This record gives sequence, C-alpha cells and structure tokens, in this order.
Amino acid sequence: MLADVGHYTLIAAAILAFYSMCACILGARMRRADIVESGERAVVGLIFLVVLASGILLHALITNNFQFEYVSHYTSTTLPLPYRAAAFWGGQAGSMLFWLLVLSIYTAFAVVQNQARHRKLMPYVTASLAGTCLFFLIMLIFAADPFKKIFPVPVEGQSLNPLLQNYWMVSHPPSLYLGYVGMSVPFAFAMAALITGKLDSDWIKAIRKWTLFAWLFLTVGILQGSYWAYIELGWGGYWAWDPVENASLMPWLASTAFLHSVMIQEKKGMLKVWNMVLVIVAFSLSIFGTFLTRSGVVSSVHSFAQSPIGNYFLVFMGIQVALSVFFLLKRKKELAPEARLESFVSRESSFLFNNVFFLVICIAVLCGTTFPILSEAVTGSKVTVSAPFFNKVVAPFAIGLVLLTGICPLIAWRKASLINLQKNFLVPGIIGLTGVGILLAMGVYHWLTLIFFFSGVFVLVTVYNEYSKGTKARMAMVHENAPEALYHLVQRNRRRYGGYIIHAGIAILFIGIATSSFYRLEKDVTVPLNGTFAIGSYTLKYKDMQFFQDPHKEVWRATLDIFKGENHVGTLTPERHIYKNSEQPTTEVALRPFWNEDLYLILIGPDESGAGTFKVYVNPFIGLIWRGGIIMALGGLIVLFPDLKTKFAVSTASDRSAEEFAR
Amino acid sequence: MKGRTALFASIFVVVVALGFLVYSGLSDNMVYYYHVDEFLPKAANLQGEVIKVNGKVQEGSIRKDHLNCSFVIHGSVQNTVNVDYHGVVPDTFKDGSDVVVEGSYDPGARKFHATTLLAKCPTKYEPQDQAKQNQVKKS
Repeated sequence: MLADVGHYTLIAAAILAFYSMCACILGARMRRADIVESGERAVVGLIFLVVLASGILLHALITNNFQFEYVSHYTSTTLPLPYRAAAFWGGQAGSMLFWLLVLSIYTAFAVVQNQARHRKLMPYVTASLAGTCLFFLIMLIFAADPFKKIFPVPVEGQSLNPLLQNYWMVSHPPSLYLGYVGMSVPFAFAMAALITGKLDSDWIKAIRKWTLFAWLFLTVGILQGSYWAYIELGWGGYWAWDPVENASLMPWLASTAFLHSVMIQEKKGMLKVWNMVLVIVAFSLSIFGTFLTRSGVVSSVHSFAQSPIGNYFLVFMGIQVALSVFFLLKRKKELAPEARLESFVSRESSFLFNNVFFLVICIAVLCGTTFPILSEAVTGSKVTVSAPFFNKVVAPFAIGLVLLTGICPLIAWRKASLINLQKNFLVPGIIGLTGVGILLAMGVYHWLTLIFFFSGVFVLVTVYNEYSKGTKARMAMVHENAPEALYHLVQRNRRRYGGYIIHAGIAILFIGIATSSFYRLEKDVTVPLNGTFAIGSYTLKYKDMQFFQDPHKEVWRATLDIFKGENHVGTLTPERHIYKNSEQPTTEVALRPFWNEDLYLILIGPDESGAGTFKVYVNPFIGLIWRGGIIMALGGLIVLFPDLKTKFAVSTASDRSAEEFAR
Repeated sequence: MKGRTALFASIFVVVVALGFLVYSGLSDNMVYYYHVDEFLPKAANLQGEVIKVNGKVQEGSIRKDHLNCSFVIHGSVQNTVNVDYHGVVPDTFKDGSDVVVEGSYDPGARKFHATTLLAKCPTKYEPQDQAKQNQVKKS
C-alpha cells in the first residue's frame, strides 16, 4: 500500500519536474513572469513530493516493512536503527533516490535564495535543476524503483552487508553525495548565463559559495572514505585508486581548479570560457562518477552487478554535454577576455598553471579509470592498470601543485620583479632545505619523500609569513593587540586567509602521504601463544586468544602487549568477526597511534594449536593525512562563514590601509 | 606577447609530459584481464606474463595454511584454474565468491601464482558503492 503511494509520488514528481522545466523555459522566452512563477512553484511541489517519497522509504526501512523489495534486501529485524536508516543509501535504488533528495533540497535553496536576485538567470537555473531531477525520476520509475514490491513478503530481510555496518556508513556516503550533487547548482547557473547571454560576473558571484560548499563536503567525504578504508578494512592502506575512489576524486579536482580560476575572472576578467568549461566538467564528472559507481561498467571492488541504469546515464550525459557544448560555442565571442596576460612570471600565470596541473591530473585519472572499457572497445581485450600507474603519472604533477601552493600567493599580480621573488622565496626556501637536511641526516633518502617534504614545509612557512605580515600590519596601523589583529585580519578577508589555512592543510596532508608511502614497514607472522615478534622499534607479545559469540556474530579476539625496549606501551586487541547471517568474516583492526607513527595489527586467524597469525604494519606519519584534512575543512569553514562585515562593520581608513599594506 | 608565448610553451611542455607519463605508465603497468573461459585457451602463450584472471571460487576448494592458500576458480563451463596465493585473504573471499587474481601462470605445474587477490561481494549484495572491499597485496 505505502509502496504504491511512494511509486505514484515519484510519477507525480516527474510530471511536476517536466512541467516546471517547460514553464520556466517558455515563460522566459515569452517574457511572461507569471508563467515562470508557476514553474518555480511547481519546483516547490516537486521538492515536497520527493521529500514525501524519501520519507516513505525511510519509514519502511526503519519499521522493517519487508513488502518493499528494497527493504527486504538491505535491512533485517536485528539490524540496529542507524544502519536501517543508512540502508537508504546502501543499495542502488535507494542511493539514486538519495541523490534526488539532496538535489531537490539544493534546488529549493537555490530557488528561494535567489527569488529576488538574478531574475534573468533564474528561469533557466530552475529549468536546468528541474531537468536533472526529471532524469533521476525517470530512472527511479523505470529502472531502479525503490518502491518495488516483493511477494510473498519475506519474514526476515537479508540485512546490510556487515562490512557496511560501522559508523562511517552513516556519515561518509551523505558527505560525498552532498558534494557530488552540489555541483549541479553551479552547472545550472553556468547554463543560465550561457543561454541568456548575461555573461558578466553575476553568475560567478551567485555560485561561489555553492561551489565551495560542495567542495567542502566532497573533501570531507573523500577523506572520511580513506579513513574508513584505513581503520576498517585491514589492508594497511587508505587509497587504492579504485574506480569508485577515482570517481570522487575527479570532480574534486575539477572544482578545486574552478575555485582558483574563478578568482582570475573576478579580478581580471580573464579565463571566462575556461571557467565555464570547468563548471561543466565538474558537473559532468560528478554524473559520470555516479554512473561509474552504479552501472558496473568498470570492474571495481565496490560495484558488482551490471545494471540497466547505465544506459539512462549515458543518454543523460550525452544530452547534457551536447547542450553545454552547443551553448558554449554559441557564446564563444562574448566570452572574450577583458585583459591579456602581461608576464610569464605573474600571479595570473601561476593560477593558470595551477589549473593546468589540476586538469592534467584529472585527465590522467580519467584515462586510467576508463582504460579497461576503452581497451575492450578498441582491441577486444580488457587491459587494466593499477595503483603504480596512477602513482607514477600523478606524483610529478602533485609535486608541482604543492609547490605552486606555496609560490602562487607570493607572486605579484601582472608582473613580478626579481627583487619581489627573492624577498618572498628566500626564507621559506632556506627553511625547507634545512628540513630536507634534517631528514637526510635521519637517513631518509627517498627523493619523492624529500621533495614533498620540502614543498610542504615551503608552503607552511609562506602561510605563516602571510599571517604574520598581515597581523603585524594591523598591529602597527590600527593599533590592535596581536589576537585582535589576527582575528580582524581573518574576519575581514576570510576567503584569502581561510584559503591559506586550506593550503597549510594540504601541505601537511602531502607530507603524511609522502612519508607513510615510502617508509611503511609490514610483516606477516605466525606465533605460538606467549611468543613474541618484533617490527620497527616495537616488540609484540601474543598473550591470549578468546572466542565468544552473540546473536549476530562469532568473535575471535587476540590480546597482544606492545613493548618499546623494556617498556610496556600498550595493548592491542585485534578481532575477527564472523556474521551468522551471511557467514561473512570481517577483520577488526587494532590500531595504536604514537605521536609519529601508527602500529596497525590485523588478526588473520587462530589455528588448532592456539598459534595466531597476524599481519602487522608500522605506518610513519600517516595520521598527518587526516590531520591535514581536518585543517583543510576548518579553512573551508572559515571561507564559508556568513559575511557579517557587509552588514555591520564600517571599514575605517586605517583598516583599509592596513589591508593594502598586507597585500 | 612574450609572456603569452612562454606560457603557452610551458603549458605545451606540461601536456607533452602528461602524454609521455601516461604512455610510459600504461606500457609499464598494463595488465591484461581475462575471464577464466577466455584465459584457458590462451594459457600456454601467457607463460610468465603478469595477468589478471576473473572467476568464481569453487565450492570446497579452499585450502588454507596460515598465510598460504590454494583454491580453484572456475568459469561458466567447467573450466578451472588452480591458484596459489601467499598473503592475507580479503574478508569477502570464500566459497562461491567472485574473485580477481593477479599474477602469472605456470603451464608446467598447471598453477596460477597469484600476488594479489581481490574478492567481490557475493551477489546477494548488489552494487554497493560504499562497500569498501578488501584489497590485499602480497608483501
């Protein structure tokens, strides 16, 4: 019964989406504000219906309504409540509905927020968003129906994959979706600007925060995913260049490039076509990413079934890319730059390089990810590439990017002088080289580690310099004390100083990647009870093995003491669970972080004699990856924080001169 | 104009570098991927080459001794390949699971020596994009 309501709700929503799209376009063409308005109202109705449909599915999941095929596949009566709710995005049909739900909430915000603004753009923005909703609705109705009924109604469901039953399943997918789906709003504005020919910086201003918001969630989502992989999966790593991981990285790269190049357009009126292209690419890649993960065209460890939704995605992507290219070509002349590049050594060109590097990495990742499909289409045999390919191709450009992160903010606009360069680069360069010297003295010789470390330190010093320069300027000119000056400095220019924090986070993250990748220790051992083994500077003693069970699972738990020299520094209890429902074993990693490295232990299994087999890793500085990530997120929040300045503060002459000076 | 020329020249260099890296990366790291059914007819010619083979684990064929593991994978017909593997097996590896092994084939011993073992979820769980599966590499 409820399932039928859900199904018809989707059909009604599809009709509204179609109506809204047509009304907005026709209304704008005929210059009839009333028709446009009715289209926008239809969007509100559409959102209401999508929320209703999602509510029905969520309710069914939580109450174990096994009439729904989807519910019976992904939940069971013994599944804890948070996972029953998380099963919403656990399977194909549900995750598509979740995409749509997020999209309609974004659409609602975009329409309401801009009710009085951007009137010329809005009809097309609404139409584009409604069109995207329509696509997902059609797919849900015809190919991936979450409201499909099952008969006879099963007594018990198949439950959620035990590998997904952990905290990260609740927070990682929604973050990623908020990021992915967020790209549809900038895309809608870009299309509206192209269609109406209102190509000034209006549309750019309207979407700056949107893009950043989506970017922030994408960043957090990707990092959560890597952390999840690290602490739950028990292979000692956090990133495997799996197609699904790549699918989330590609839109991230494109949107990061856009967030940078958009500054050039605002300041200089250059790169207009380029920015359009980046927005279109970012959106296309997020659709493409959903397609990759959901259609099963690429064999990934994440995705398993061939599914009919692939064709729907192909058609939608075809239409979307064709329309984008058509309008882009049509407006090409009007998008001519207002200024020309004056010098090779200038901030403009360093931004351009940053963009080229981001895009080049994106293309490399795309090549590697789609290579199996392409090679099969061309030669008939499937050829795959794995992690070494990506590492090899991406590493040089990643080094370039990290270096640019340090260099870019230091180069003057238009044309930098030699003195300017010397003055700004000398100190960070010397400190960076000193750091490398220390590493060499410690016996770290891997050149990639050294280069990333140098670049990272360089960035951190330049960020510190920028902060101290700005703070000192304010202290001298506005006569504030240091914390006040620092606070006002950031608060009055959050985009710039928040951006620096993000850069510092990236630098720290890369130092973590470079050290942990090349200096990891790993070992497989089988030891008898009370036996010991050593790795790095640690000795582990295998003390105990317990077995117990609860209604859901059987648990093996080993207990090991960690010694560093003579000192007992901790205890590790790695576990192995076997779920009764599915006979699915899962490893519960035991992790002991030290200030400089993680000791990471997996229980492979006990044997009859009571001996235990373990896999153990020492991952140096791996924690920096996520600490850097948290710093990035904080920086993003600083930039996103609502603008209070424009409303309340009146800037004084001395405020302004302090800012000028800091520049 | 000089600035622009220098800029375009260096962008050109970056793009060429990309092309070179992708090309050399592909030729060094590409690995052919076969299903068991496609693999068997060619097996004799593939001696020593690093390849990936995809198949299902035959029921009851898994033999484990600490970190050494041997099993049989089969294709749609009764085409089977014996596999040897040393290392940690992924959680999802069991009878009937769909696996991809990477390694090389020894036609003399009629054995596939796998260095990497990837297991996909049993079909009961349909596509799960967040289902981070185990990937385990030989140390």
